Amino acid sequence: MPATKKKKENVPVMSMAGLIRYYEEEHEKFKIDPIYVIIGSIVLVSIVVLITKIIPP
Amino acid sequence: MSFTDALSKLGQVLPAVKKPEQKPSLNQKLLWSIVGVIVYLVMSSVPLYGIQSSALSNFLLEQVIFASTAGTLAQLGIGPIITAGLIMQILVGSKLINLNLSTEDDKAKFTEAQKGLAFLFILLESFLFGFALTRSTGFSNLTIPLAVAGQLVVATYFILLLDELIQKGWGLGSGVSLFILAGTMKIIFWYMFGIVNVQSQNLPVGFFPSLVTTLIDHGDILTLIVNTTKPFQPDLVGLVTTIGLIFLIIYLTSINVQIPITSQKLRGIRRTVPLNFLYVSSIPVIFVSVLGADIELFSSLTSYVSPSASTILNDIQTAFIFPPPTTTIPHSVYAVVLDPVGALIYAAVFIVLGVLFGIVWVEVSGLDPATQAQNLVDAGIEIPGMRSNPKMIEAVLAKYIYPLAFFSSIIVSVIAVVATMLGVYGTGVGILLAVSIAMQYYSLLAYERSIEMYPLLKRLIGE
Repeated sequence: MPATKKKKENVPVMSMAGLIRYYEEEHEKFKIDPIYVIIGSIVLVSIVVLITKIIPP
Repeated sequence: MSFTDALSKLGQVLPAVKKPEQKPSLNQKLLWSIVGVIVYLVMSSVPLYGIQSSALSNFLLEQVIFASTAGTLAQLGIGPIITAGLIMQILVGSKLINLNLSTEDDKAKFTEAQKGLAFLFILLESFLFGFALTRSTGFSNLTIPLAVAGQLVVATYFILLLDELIQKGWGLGSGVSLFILAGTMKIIFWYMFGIVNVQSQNLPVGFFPSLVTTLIDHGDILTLIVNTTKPFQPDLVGLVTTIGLIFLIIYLTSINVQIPITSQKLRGIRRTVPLNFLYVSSIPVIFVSVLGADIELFSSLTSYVSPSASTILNDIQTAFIFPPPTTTIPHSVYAVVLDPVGALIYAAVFIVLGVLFGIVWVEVSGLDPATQAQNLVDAGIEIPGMRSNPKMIEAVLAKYIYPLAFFSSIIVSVIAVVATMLGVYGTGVGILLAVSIAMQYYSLLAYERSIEMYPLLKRLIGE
């Protein structure tokens, strides 16, 4: 098994668009739940649409 | 503190998506991926507040490679993420930044520094865009340009988080790939079925609606076969080349070069290890296009800040775009006939850079003979007639890997160039990327499905 374990560690987390990123170790200080990313994006879209309707530039 | 350390510290303090505590099921991954793409597509159809219409238009290459849509919340698309990634990979690959990507600490630092650099690009591009907007539209105060820059910073950071969400294991594959695929499919669909009328040419933008309109009106059908005059008119040659190209890429991807091996674990049974004929996949084309798209982007943005810098960038930019953006010649065979020298320069620059980036990618991504030889030795695999010595196996692999990297870089670059010259829908680069991403997703789905159906496989492959 050690060979298999070592091989797994060597495999980079590779994006299919040519970006190499590794997420095995995390040192980020502010971690957020993925649902908040979706909610945040929807809130941003809603605010921009609403402001455009209410106060046209 | 080095520059990499500073970027890495910045990457650490930026909000990040947390990793899933348990591996999500395939259905959950599909759901997160689909939701992520839908949110991205919605963002790319919501106009930025403060812009009446598109104040700055994006070139097709930018739209494809950065999955961006002009004048919307996705104005910058994945440009900052992909540019930061490209810069970091080249710096590490060329040893200008000394990081050992076989250690966990340096791997984490590399990823965090990429994120930090991507954030700096988000700030730079957003404020440059806001500034360019002030100059181009003549806003007397800074409120609207600052509002536009603010929207871009927040929206592009959310795009970064959406990519992270998919890449960190909540979704399938990578967000960046999905966004490029979705963007290219949107362009192809538009080129085929777009019903919006282009006033200057009095025809719908899509090929099929144009065909119907031309047949009904008894118009000039020849222009629809090979377009020679209209800048926004996809033609039949482009459609046929698009379909042909899809099959060609699928065929080339399925070709493998077999290397004979024996395995100690399997009692010396002789087998072969396949090396993909397109060894570097579409990476060289991605890198050349990112470079070209960035030069385009900064050339248009700096034109409002420093005309002299913009002139230099404009000159460089012409080598990456064919036909040149200053002309109204359509993107088709006609352009090659009209400007053969320009076509030749474009092809030469693209192919030479493609080969250079292909070789850099082999070194930086662990596809080089030394890493592959070590992987084979670690897995107890030998090449018949060779001792289990990484150096000897490396020498054998080098005979296959470097020629494969060289020729596959030339092949993908030539495909992208020729396809673009034939007026392929969504550009040659876009089709190459879309097909290779779709095929990788097909393999990924098959892998995930088999892991779910046969849990024993998980233990066998060490998941």
